[in-house]
Amino acid sequence: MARENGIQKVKIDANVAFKIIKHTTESAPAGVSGQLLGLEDGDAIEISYAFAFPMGEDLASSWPSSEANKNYASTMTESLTAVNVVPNAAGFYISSFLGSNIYSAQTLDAFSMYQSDEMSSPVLIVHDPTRTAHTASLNLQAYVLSPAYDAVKKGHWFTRAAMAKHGLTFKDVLIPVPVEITNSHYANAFIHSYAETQTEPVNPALHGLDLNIDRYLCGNAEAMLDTLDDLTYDLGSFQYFLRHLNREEARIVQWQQRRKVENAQREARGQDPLPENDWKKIFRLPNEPSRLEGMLEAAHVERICDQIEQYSAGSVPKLYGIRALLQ
Amino acid sequence: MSSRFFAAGYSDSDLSSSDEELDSEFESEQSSDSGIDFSEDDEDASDYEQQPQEDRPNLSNVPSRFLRTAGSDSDSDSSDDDSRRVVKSAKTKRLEEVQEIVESIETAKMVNEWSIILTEFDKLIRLVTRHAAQDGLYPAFIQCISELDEDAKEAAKSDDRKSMNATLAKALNTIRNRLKKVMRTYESEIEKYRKDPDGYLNGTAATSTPQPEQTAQQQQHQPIDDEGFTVVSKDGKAKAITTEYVLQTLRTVIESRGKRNIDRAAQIKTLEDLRSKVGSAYQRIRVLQVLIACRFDMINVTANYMPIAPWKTAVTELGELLGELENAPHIVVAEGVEAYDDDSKDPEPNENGIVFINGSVTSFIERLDDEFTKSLQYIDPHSTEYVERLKDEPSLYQLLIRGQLYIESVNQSKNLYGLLVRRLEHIYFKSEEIVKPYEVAAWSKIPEGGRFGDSKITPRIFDSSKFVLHELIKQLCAPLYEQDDNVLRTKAMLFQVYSYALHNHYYKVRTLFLMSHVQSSISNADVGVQVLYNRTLVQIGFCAFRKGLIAEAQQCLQEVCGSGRTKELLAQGSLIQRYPQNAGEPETVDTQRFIPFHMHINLELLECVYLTSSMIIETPILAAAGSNTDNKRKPLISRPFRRLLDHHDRQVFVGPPENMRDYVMQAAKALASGDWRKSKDFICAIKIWDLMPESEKIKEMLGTKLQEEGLRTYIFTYASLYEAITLDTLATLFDLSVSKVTSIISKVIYDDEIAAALDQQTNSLIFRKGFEVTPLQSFALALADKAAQLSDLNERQTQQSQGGRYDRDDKRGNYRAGNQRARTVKA
Repeated sequence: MARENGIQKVKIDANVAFKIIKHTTESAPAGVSGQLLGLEDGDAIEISYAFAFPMGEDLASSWPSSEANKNYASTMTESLTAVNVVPNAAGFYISSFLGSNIYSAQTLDAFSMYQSDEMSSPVLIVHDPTRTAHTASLNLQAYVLSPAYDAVKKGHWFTRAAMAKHGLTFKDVLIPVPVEITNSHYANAFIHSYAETQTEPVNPALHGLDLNIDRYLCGNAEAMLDTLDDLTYDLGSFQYFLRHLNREEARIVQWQQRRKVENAQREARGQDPLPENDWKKIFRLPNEPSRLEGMLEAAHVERICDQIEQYSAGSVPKLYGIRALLQ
Repeated sequence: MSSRFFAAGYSDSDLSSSDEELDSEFESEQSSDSGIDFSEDDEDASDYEQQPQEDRPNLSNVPSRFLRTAGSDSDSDSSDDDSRRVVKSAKTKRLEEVQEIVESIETAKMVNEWSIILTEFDKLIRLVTRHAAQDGLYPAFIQCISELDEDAKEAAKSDDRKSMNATLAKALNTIRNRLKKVMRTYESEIEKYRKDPDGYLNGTAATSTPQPEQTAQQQQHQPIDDEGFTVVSKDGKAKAITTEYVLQTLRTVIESRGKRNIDRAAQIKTLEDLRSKVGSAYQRIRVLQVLIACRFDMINVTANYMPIAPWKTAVTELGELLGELENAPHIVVAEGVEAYDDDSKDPEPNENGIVFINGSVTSFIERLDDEFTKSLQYIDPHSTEYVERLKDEPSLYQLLIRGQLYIESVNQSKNLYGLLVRRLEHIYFKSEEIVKPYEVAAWSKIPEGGRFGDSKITPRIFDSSKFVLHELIKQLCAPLYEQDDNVLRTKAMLFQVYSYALHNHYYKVRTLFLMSHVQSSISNADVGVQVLYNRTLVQIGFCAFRKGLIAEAQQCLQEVCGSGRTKELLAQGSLIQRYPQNAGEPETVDTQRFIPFHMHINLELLECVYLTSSMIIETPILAAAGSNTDNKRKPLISRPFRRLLDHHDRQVFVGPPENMRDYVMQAAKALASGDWRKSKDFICAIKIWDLMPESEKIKEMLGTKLQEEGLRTYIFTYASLYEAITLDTLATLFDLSVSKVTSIISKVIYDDEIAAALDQQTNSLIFRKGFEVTPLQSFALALADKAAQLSDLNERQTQQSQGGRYDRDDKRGNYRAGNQRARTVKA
């Protein structure tokens, strides 16, 4: 059911949202992750509970796909069963620093780990504490894996041909899903009663006027530079492959022409033509390197670009505003 | 020799019977021999020298017909009887040998040990074939083979054969095959023996006639025998020294040259004897020629160079040869002259009154020079032997001059240039003070006013105080420049440049060097010339450095020092063996290429000069680059220097400097922090400067440079900290005059290296602020660079995959194209 239409919405319990925000913000800038529990409900996923994974020494060890965290998850599941919570894994959450960690091999590994019969498309929730702090609005995003990626991955090799066949580009490795934060009825009732006693706004958000643009942009630029380096490297190695391939192809064409001429001569002499498909035995085309890395890097670059765009959309009016004030 | 002919005949017979199955190695060996022998027969006798010598263990026992002559000539004082007795005893010995083998065959036959018989039989055949020409056939041999034949037949028929083991049976078969062949060869003899065994054994013995197969061969070389040595050995010994005798002896010696089993020492002794006795100049010259050639023959193939004692003798003899030539104006040694064949008397002069002798004085001199260089390459340069060896150079140099004079006087210009180059090779790397005594000593030994008393190319030095090295080198190079041969011209030019550079004529050097355009063609030259080019380049660098032209020096040395393979480029030794598996062969090749130690350029001095120059140039650049992060203006001048500096920076503790590099690095550090005095102290503390002539002046020059560059570095480093600074302060800080400071700073401002202005009224430098780039801006710049690079890469890739699709027009669309390309290209 979910497979045809895809997940359209992710509902997160406010408690869970707070838990995620607290965990990721406190451990920033280190990358951390946790597991989400919940149920599929039609085209939506409801996340009702989450628990954090202990932080490892590096990114790989603090991600859900690490061995230690797998054990930890199973222990947690047992304990939760003991207290009558239905431990149905719905996906996982991670923290990100200016868009990092999302497009990484580890994250994709974690996705495939959570994929099971009960949960056809696990969900990923990303919280970027830095962006939350800078843009003064909660940056909580949910993603599911695209069916195109799934299909290519089943072929085990990210070649151009496979990617073209399934229409997979770097843009649709992960599909964003709208997030809806819901309160329990108790909480709603409390807020209503609280609002009646309180007349003034809780916290006037004055730091929305902050003009410190440079630091955020610098961070983004730095991240972009790193990623571009990786991307260039990847492109370089791919180009090497292409050169190699072209050379081999040229040789094959040459061979085929020679064979054709030879066959024509043989025919003229009344002999049987030689088979024209022998080149498969003589030449070996180079294996195409996996395009996954490059694709992820490209996706990362795009994400950073989006971030900068979004941020500058907010910042430029501020600058104009300041200029008007100064005049 | 004759045994070879015989061998040819022998296997000739079996070639005709090729249907036989002959599996033994013996057979193939013989026939391969015969192949060589045949080809030899058709050629001139003189070609014997080149013939390959097969490695046959017993060959050294074989008396050659030439040796026999030479040997009997050498002891010409001994009587005829003596020599005959010697021959006799040798013959008996051979006979005994044969008998021994025959006996052992008999014994082996008793016990049916066919494998032993086979080896003995092979030995016997070899022996007999070898001596057949001298001794004829041994009756014992004929008896042996005919008996053996019968026995073998019997053994093959008898039932024993089945009980024999495989090796024995095989041996028996082989013997039977061999026997068949041998029997055919000696058919008539065996026939004779069979008819009357006892009579044959007692009677015919040594006088048995050669076989029909042989006679044909014998006749072929009979004439050579007659004109060659037979006559000499009969007449020469008894006679007193006559022209004929001398010439014929020479001929035999010449013909035996290059042969294996020749006693060369004996030959030389003969020639030396001969030399003291001969009368005419022609003969003396001929004898000397051959004698010198023989001395070169004495060099052991395995030895790396000619031993020194014979080398010296050869030098003296060559000197004498030149002396003889000078005294005998009607005799000219030239190449490609028809050989004079008549041994009975000296040749008559031609219509111009000149007698030409085939030969080459230059090749002798060149050979001696080569051997001299080789010996220097192999002698340990730190031993006294090396120094002793170097003392021989003046005599060689004098020989070169004399050779040059001789060639000039007989107008053999073709040979002249080689000599000139060699002469230049001996002096180009030396300073005037060293060459002067060389020249003076050499000329003093050459008699004045003689036929070879003076040279057109390099006139005699009468007044040693007027000697100018440049003039000499110019004179030597001038004829070389006129040649068509590119190598000669390049070499001459490099020699001259080297010498000029050594004597600090930088601008002359530069003009000459640049005009020659040697830089563009040097990569095609052979290794020797390239090495010379590198050496010259280094010397030019030194010259520029001494002149205080630091940038030029750095540029010149960059090519040699920058690669990290200085040693190899200057042919002064190789790096530690990088290819241990095939170290043997290339090493010897390299060693031959190496330059003798006394010509070496001091590598440490070279590195020191290079690093110091690099430091003086790089430090201000580094300081300028450090003050702003604009990466574009950060040219890399010297990679080795940067690497050393990085290494120095990484060290946790920096101790007091220990070696030259430490000193330079610490000087660089001091200079970078603006402390030019400390920097100068460090630089001046380097001991290797003492190797440079006038080291004090150089240190002074370096001090001035450090002051100036220190000022520039200081301004670059601390510009951001100052708002303004008076020029007086700067002048006192760097101990420079105010006008100098003004000029340096004006240049810096003009080149846009700092944002500042000179204020004439207060006489100070005022910095302008706000020109620094913010981190974000620098990131943005870097990002722009990267993006351009990436899009470039993408475009190329798209082209490569032929028709990648651009899905979008915006910049990021390129990435998409990179991923969508897949559709078009398929194998």
